[in-house]
Amino acid sequence: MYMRVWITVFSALVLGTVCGPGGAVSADDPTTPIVLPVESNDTIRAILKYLWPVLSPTRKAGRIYYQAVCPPDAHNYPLMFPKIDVRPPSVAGTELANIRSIFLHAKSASVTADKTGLVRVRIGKIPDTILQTRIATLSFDADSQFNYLSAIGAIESAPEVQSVMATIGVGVPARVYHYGLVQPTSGLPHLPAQIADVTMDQALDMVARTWGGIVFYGACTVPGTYEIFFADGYFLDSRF
Amino acid sequence: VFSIPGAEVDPNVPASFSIAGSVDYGFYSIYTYQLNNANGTPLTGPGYSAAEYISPADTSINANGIQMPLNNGQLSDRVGFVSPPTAPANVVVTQTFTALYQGYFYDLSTVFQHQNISSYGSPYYIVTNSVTVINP
Repeated sequence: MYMRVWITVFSALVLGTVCGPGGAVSADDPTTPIVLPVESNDTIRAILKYLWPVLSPTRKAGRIYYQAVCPPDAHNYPLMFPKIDVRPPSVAGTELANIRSIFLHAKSASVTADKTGLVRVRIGKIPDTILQTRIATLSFDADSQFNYLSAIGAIESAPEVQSVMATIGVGVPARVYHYGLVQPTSGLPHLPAQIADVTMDQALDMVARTWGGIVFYGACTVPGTYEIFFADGYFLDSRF
Repeated sequence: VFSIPGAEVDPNVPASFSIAGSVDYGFYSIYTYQLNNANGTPLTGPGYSAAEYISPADTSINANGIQMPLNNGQLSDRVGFVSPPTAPANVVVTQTFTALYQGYFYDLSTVFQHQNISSYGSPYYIVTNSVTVINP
């Protein structure tokens, strides 16, 4: 029995340290206080401020998944990021240890890294049916090959993803954008013209790696809603 | 009648954008803007970039302040929804620009208005994206 407990703890340490004392981020609980947009932005800003400097300089890529706070009768943009306790990172350890130190006091947050080193932060209980949707073939036109926002749009628009969204009744906020497009140019970051047999989650990993940033995925179960956005060093400097 | 040497307006100085074309892709459109000088002559040479400013900024994802290199004096602007919307929306914003040429910034006279509408339809929401000239 003790061995099993130790294996469980060891697995948690190696495969995904659970930070903080536990407890759910009960975003879909009707008793959860509504998070104001300014509070949501403050949390995102704090996370990026602490996380960006300790991400590997050569990689600068990661994923953040969060259980969003959504008013039950609204498809607001953006979904609200839950209030969590994040702290300045330790800088003495490994990249992963330093990142974990940011979320040490955050309820229901876990930090893991896959074998390529891509860091994943999970906050709360995240519905991921959409993310696990397998896409047979995904084509990127010149626009979506060279522009991460367009690439995210192409991934979300894949017929398989749209089909699953319709089947399980999940929508996206009506998110508008106006964005000058990077023209296809040799040497600039870009995706291949086509990828095959990937999950939506894996395709989003490619976006994070290709453009060197953090792809956020937030979702609510009530109402069934999700949103995806990308943040990098420029986002941190300019958006807030 | 006299002129001050050097005071002539450089014909390469950017002054405005005009809409050169657009392509509708359903939930979004790509508009092409052409950079012009003060006489309305297209500037097609190298070395130009431009940054957009969307107002109000918090109603959309935008590239406010990011200088984008122009291609033959043209800027491609993706206008619309990130993905097929599943909720209603009616967003109206104005768009202005600052161009950069040979190390100098130039506020362009052009003001565009964007309107992005998503209204209920079955099986898909009906989307309209438009860009109109408020000030040339």
